[in-house]
Amino acid sequence: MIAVRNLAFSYRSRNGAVPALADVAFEVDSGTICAVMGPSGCGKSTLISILAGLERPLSGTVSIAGLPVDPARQRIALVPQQYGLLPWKTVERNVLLGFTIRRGSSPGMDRNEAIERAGTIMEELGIESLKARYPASLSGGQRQRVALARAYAFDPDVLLFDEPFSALDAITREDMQGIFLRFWRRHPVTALFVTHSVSEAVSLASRIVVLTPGPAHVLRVEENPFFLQSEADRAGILDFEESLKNSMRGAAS
Amino acid sequence: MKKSRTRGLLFAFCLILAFWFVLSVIVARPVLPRPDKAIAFLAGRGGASLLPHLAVSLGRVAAGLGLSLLVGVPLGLAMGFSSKTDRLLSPLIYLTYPVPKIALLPVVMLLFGLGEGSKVVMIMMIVVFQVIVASRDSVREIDPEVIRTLRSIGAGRGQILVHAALPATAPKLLTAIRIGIGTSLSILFFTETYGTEYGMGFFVMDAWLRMSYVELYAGILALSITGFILFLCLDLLGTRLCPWVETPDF
Repeated sequence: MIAVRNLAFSYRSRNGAVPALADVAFEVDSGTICAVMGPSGCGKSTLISILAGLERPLSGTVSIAGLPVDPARQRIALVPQQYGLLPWKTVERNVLLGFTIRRGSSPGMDRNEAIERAGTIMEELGIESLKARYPASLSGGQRQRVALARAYAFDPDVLLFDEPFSALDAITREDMQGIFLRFWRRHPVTALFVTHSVSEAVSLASRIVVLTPGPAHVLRVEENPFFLQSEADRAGILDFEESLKNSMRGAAS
Repeated sequence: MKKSRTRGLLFAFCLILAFWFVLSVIVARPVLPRPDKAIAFLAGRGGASLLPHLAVSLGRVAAGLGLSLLVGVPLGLAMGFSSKTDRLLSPLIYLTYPVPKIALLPVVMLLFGLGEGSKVVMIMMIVVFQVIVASRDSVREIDPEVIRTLRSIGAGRGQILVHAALPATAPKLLTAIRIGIGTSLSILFFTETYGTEYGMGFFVMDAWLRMSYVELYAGILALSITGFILFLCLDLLGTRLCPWVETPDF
């Protein structure tokens, strides 16, 4: 479980501290997907950085499975907006990055096991044939799948996505959302993603947290009744989306 | 190496020789001998007598380049990673970079003597700036998302250096070395005219003083062939070390 309690964060600027987050609090249950939604510039990426242990909050706490967040001890897989693939590593080496970085501090990790796991994940995601290629030669959708494979190959405690599908065209985005959801159903991991897209949040998350801008705080936490519903009520989904959009509009104004 | 590229290089070499031949016929004076005479010198005993000179010069270039990398890469990486270090050292680099280093030769000779020290230090002083700037800029150009990804996995500074900074620096560093080799070979003409009886600079200048023009041109030809081979080796090293960099054919 991810527990965020009374989180506050400020950026330093020439004119003093600029508050970005104020008293943000919510929880993500183990093995579920949570979407954090809010208008652009409301502090979503800052929140992801704090959850990944890359920034220290001014006050408040973030814990993963009851322990304070620490990237050196926990397995946190972050997928940034542009995927963060290392251009000088092949697809396979990118996928194995988590193992490469942590093998020194995790003696139990076996190289052959890691390669086998990475191979299985790449096969499931349809990128096995790309393993010898470099990221520069891949399409946006392929890069996204490599980033997903890298995150899963790490056997993560939590998966964090920063606007994961925003760099893709509409069709690839829809395909990737489907691929992610099918993959997640086979390997359910506690996941959190930030997005400004209401339909993306409703398609992918079981819980939706709406943030208000400047400084961000939680406006609304909603359980998504339509999550993984194959026979979903179309009108109901539209109503739910509209209600979330209204919250966003209200928050932005 | 691709066949088309080999053909292109051979064509360029033949074109230069043809131009040299035509010019020597037009000038028709001993000061510009025909290329076949210089080639015959290199192919015969003269070539063997030139080898120790070449070896000494290459040793000096290697030492100068090695020292530049040893000093320049850590400095450049430190400047790239830390804005404080960059703010501290950048003015120093920008002020000293444009100074023609050859003008400092007398000072270098006084400080490091007339032996190997001053020759190697001169090469180092010229190449190190390119190495520093290439390393610093390469680190600055690393996608911040790459660093975020590495840190989120738990990578420490050493791992970020190994998995991000060094590979990101390699392509520009190879370019800096490529330029550095050309510059170093030119510098040898100044630094090998004193305190030594070995080196390509000494060989060429000695031939010139003796008015042995065939030897002089053979020395220049040997130097350009050596430079060419070094460039090809660097290209090969580049494709091995940086296979993710796409190089256009020519």
